[in-house]
Amino acid sequence: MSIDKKTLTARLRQLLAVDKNAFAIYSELAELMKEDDLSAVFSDIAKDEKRHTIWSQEMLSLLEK
Amino acid sequence: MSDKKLTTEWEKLFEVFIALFVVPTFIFYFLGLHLPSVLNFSYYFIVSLFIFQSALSYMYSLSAFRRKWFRELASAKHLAVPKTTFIVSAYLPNEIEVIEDTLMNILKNVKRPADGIELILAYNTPHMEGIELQLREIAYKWPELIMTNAYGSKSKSENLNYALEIASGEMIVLLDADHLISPDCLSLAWRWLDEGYNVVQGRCKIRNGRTSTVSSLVEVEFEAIYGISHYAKSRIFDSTLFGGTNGYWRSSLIKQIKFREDRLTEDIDATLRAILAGNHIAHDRSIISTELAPETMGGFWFQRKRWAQGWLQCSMRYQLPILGCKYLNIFQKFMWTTLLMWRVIYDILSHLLFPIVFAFWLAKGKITLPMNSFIWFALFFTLFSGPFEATVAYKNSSLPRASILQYFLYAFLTFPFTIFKNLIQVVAIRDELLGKREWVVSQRKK
Repeated sequence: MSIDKKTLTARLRQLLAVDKNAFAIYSELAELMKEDDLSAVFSDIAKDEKRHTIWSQEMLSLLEK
Repeated sequence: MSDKKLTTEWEKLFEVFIALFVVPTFIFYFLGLHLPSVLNFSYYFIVSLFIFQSALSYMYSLSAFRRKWFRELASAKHLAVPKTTFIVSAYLPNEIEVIEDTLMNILKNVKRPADGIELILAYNTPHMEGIELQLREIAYKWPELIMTNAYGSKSKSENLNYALEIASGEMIVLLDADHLISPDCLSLAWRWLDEGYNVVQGRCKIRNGRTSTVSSLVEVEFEAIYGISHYAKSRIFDSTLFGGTNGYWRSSLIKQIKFREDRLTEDIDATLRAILAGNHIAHDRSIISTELAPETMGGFWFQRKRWAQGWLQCSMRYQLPILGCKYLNIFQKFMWTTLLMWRVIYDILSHLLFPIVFAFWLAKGKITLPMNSFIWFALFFTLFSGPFEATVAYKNSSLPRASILQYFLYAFLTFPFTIFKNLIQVVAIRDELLGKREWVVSQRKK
């Protein structure tokens, strides 16, 4: 199975939007959660989502070169 | 529309009636008793305002009479249409019924530039809607569709700003959720940006004009606004406005300008900030996008009140900067003044005609019209401007045309329709002065 550069870029941009959205939601949940344990879990997930957005952006920069 | 909201609006109308009709009637009556010349002067002054406003309408109608095709400027670079981002903003619970058609129209019908397009749906929703999952399936099928849920957003401006961060096209098209854009829009719009303009505003056409009397009037009104008024401003003054939808921006500019979240008409605010920074906006009535008009009087009332209040906010903030702007010539400053503070002043003062006439009747003790040749001229000049505008709008209307009956209805009702809209503007002024800023989202149905 192969994918052309244009479609790959488009897919990554879709994922970037989803990751940004997830990052915003998890960050807010981490802030709102009163239980420390749960707050820490949400905070970790938010960091993961942030990493996803950074990776997506890096891949997009590589593709745009 | 809740009954409570409508009752509140009736109460506001009553307040306006007292403030602009009853109280001034007695003021003019007592003034007339002691200083009859003041009553006389006020009468002729207000009538002159009507003449001036009608003269503007004739000027725009006459200059838009001939169809003018795009003429290329020497500055054109003939660059190919670049990658373009469409941003469709939606408030999902209210616009569920129309959003899928809007997106599919772009995905299926718009002619792609070589570098392609991306379509960003910028939305906010208080809770997960079934439609969101449905749209995600469409996004899976169409990689060009990017769903951006502006989490925590409470306004259209926030949605748009969120989407602007993601947008990667060189040209950005801003659309409302109910807009069905024409397939050739990108090449038509790019011609203007290619020759140096920073923004081009297309023509918005109503597609549900036959569903109610209100939407029928709005359909013809839009033909006059987009086919005459905006077009004529662009042609005469080489300056016009971005109306919030069917607008094509250079990406670098709109990303810098963005949208202010505290404005009721974020589009006019963005327009004015762009103009003040020396950017140029053109209007092209051949770039057509269809939309849905409010079908009820309530829907119309709240939509227009928000527009009027937003314009008022912009008038208060930008009138002086416009007058001092080094990028605008004196004619452009005049044009912008007629759209900003002049509108506010006219809306208030034009209502005083009735109190002046009532005061005259009270003073005379009988109902008699103070007519002479000047007043007769003013009457015909003013009353004929609406039908004349409707005739020009019909001649230059976009296809498919509204029926001739709709144009007759509009021509016949122009005067009361204008008075009604002016009344809405006055209520909007009242709301703004009292700090009542409410965004009533228009309900969109197929």
